[in-house]
Amino acid sequence: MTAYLLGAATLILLVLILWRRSSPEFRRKSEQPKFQFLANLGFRPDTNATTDASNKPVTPERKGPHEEHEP
Amino acid sequence: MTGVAERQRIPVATGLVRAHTYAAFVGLLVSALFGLTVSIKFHVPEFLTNHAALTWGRLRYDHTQGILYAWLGNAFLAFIYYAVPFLTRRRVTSERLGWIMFFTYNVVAVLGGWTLVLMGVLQPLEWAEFPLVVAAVIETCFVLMIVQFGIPFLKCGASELYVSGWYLLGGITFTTLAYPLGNIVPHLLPGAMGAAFSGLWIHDAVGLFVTPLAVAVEYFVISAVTRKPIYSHFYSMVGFWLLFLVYPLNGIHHYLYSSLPMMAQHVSEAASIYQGIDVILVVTNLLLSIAIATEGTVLQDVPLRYVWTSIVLYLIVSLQGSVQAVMAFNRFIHFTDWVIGHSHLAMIGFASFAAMGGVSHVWQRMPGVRHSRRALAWSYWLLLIGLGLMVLDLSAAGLVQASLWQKHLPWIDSVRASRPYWVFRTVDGLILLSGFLVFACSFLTGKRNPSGFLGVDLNSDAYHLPRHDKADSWFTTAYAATFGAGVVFFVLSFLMLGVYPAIHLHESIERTTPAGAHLALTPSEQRGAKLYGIDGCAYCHTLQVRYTAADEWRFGKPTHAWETRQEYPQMWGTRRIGPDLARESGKRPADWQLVHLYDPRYIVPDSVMPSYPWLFDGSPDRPTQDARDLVAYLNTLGRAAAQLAPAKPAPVYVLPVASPVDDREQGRAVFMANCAGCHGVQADGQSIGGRALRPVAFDLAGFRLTDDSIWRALEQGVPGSSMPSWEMLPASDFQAVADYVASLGKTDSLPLERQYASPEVLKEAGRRLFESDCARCHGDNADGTGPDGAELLPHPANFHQMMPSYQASARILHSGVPGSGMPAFPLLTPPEVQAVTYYIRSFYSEANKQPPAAPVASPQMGDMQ
Repeated sequence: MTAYLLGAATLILLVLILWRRSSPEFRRKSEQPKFQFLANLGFRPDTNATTDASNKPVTPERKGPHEEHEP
Repeated sequence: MTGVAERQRIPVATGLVRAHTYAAFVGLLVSALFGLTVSIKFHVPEFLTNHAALTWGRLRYDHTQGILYAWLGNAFLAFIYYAVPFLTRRRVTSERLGWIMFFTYNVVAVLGGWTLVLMGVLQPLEWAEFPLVVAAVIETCFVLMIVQFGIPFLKCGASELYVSGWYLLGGITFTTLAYPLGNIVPHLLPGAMGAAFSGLWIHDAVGLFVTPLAVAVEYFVISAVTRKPIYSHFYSMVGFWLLFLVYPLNGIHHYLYSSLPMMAQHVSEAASIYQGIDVILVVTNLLLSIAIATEGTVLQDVPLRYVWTSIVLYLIVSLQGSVQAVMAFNRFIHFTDWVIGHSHLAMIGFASFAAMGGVSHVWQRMPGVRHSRRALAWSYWLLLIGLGLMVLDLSAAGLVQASLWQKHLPWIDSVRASRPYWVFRTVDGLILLSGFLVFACSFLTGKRNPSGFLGVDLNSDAYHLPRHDKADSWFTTAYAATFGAGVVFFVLSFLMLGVYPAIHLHESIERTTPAGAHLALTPSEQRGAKLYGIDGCAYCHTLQVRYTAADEWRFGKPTHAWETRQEYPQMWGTRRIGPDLARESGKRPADWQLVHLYDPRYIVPDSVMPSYPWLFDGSPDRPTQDARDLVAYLNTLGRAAAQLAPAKPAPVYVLPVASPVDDREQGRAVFMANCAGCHGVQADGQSIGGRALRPVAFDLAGFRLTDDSIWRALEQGVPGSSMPSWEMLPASDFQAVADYVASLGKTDSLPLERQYASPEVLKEAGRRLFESDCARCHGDNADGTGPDGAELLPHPANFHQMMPSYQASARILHSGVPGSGMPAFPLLTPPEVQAVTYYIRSFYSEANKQPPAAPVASPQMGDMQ
């Protein structure tokens, strides 16, 4: 029973991982929320980036409301 | 125009952020003060001990509940009110609802819970100590949180929701589901069955409430401070799902080697290890996010530094937790301070550091408030140093305790060895408290932020609406399905680790409960059980002998599930400061328990147990009904198993070979450490505790004892008295204290001119007196086997093995031995006392081939002459 439960959890996640590896669209969609979040904060992210390697420094072009009171 | 503006700007509910932040500070400082007081009581047990509300147990309950709800709950709520608009581009459901929640949560749940616990209205369930009425309020608040925050998250859509939002949503949802398991079910299911559910909640409180909200803060603050995306959002989601799929399976690892089904124990062990793997994944992603975004530079932003530290400590504490759940290690380390170090590392190092990073990050952006970066930086270092020292200290204490528990040593030795660590813990606690104070000050001092708008500005150039395409629907479906799987897994964990053990145990209990087992409690014993829980006894004394060798030889047979079928709720405990009490029945007389409750140090000088003077009317021999009820309950612990156990054969006693080494000094040290509490420093039984016992403590200085009687008493205890077995003493200490006791008897002679008559006359007069007044209990031969003494405990004295001094004999004959079968003979004249004493002394002398010693003058006898 233990093995079934842990195995099922692992299987669900392995399916998602394999799906992501095989589908550029999945990769793009799965990473999109982090860029959307930056946009919500008022930072301009590189929304075209779709992979982990996209995490190059992004310089915000405009000071957003989130950083108005930054020290 | 106004409508457009409002549509384009989503404000943060700053009033609620402020309110919850201030409430969090109050919660943190008050809870820390509870904790510091509890810590001081470990090495100054008489500190604040005169009132029930200030007893160790109740303060300890309020300490942990305060940290969980008053501090972390409020800090996370402050953060959530700030975060929801940025995560969802939507307001929280209702600010009015927020204020209702704020007052309900803080005034009713937190303040009400603290007060009720101090008044003794509580439930002795770990991480669920607030009474049921408060638990109902907290559960209602969790449901309202789903309404308040869950609706914006659901409107946002699964495919666009940042990982912090998932953690917040998951944390609130799963806590709402898990909370009743630990708070209500143990009242419905007794003993072992209830323990299975308690175990689930103990870990779910950390795993499903604290952990997700702390990780949500970490993911939020990293991107918000560095202004860069995290390393991998997908793997952050894999970590999220693994957390919720696997964490609920962990709970039973608090009750390894217990009578819970072994399958459930193995599930929790395997899941705990698996959980460690998940944490490695989560932490790798988080640290890579920081490392890449900051390019390895020093973390100048203090909130981010708090978060970074929290992440590192999350990894350490999680791997530590996985190792602790491995049965081989758990057998050694469980119940020790190591686990307390682990929980402080989790709740301060991981959760509180994350919460501090979160609220300080938020505060620096709040309009119109003060904040001091310098004070914040100071608080970071104070807290890091204080926590580091505390965890090292408690871990070392745990290793020492675990090692001593494996050895044949008295339990009190582990308490003595722990004392320096506990003193040091108080010092660490002071550093932590000062860190908390400076942290709070950093929010009230320094420069003031300008007033202005705080929220999501949809007019921002940077802002863009997410692209919606056909992939959204299947992506949303996949995420939603996995979240649904998490809920299913939670239900499965509930079935497998709660319901299955309960069914299995129910069948097992029905099958194995012996016929005639006396398990039902009388009304007095039931009241005693309630008092045992109210005053926190279960948090120092476990009520479960585990299936481990060290437990079995120290405490007795492991606790069977059927023995616990009347325990509502179970009080198995997860920590041992004092010894386990599951086999307490019959171990000690009620008088010992009463004196011990009144002031433990009367009879165990090194005890750190609190005193319970409010259970007495001023002295240990005037117990209230509450004290009698509590002692009655203690005498039920293990009673059924003891009554059904086959009679033990009388132990075969062999007098050990006497040591050729004179170790009198060592013996005196052992005596002073272990025996002087009852027998007194002069060994005359005149200590406060010794005189309060029934029977009173034995006057060792007034008797010469044979070696084998000393050895037998030390090895087996004295049935019917408070004298326990000291077989746990190391052989050298045992030998030394036996030699020392043998040297104590002051039975010197008196010059012949002080005698009332010749030895022959004295002996004959003594014989007549003895045969008329003493022989029916002590036996014609004075060997303690008289017909009337057969049922007496302790047994009447055997004068072949002990010889009283004339002083001791006169005192006993005059006053009797309170609590024993020995009555007073106040009408005996001094010559009669001398005669009977001379007579009974002759038995010892003959048995030990010594001429009978002449009388020794007592002050009374001298006066009478």
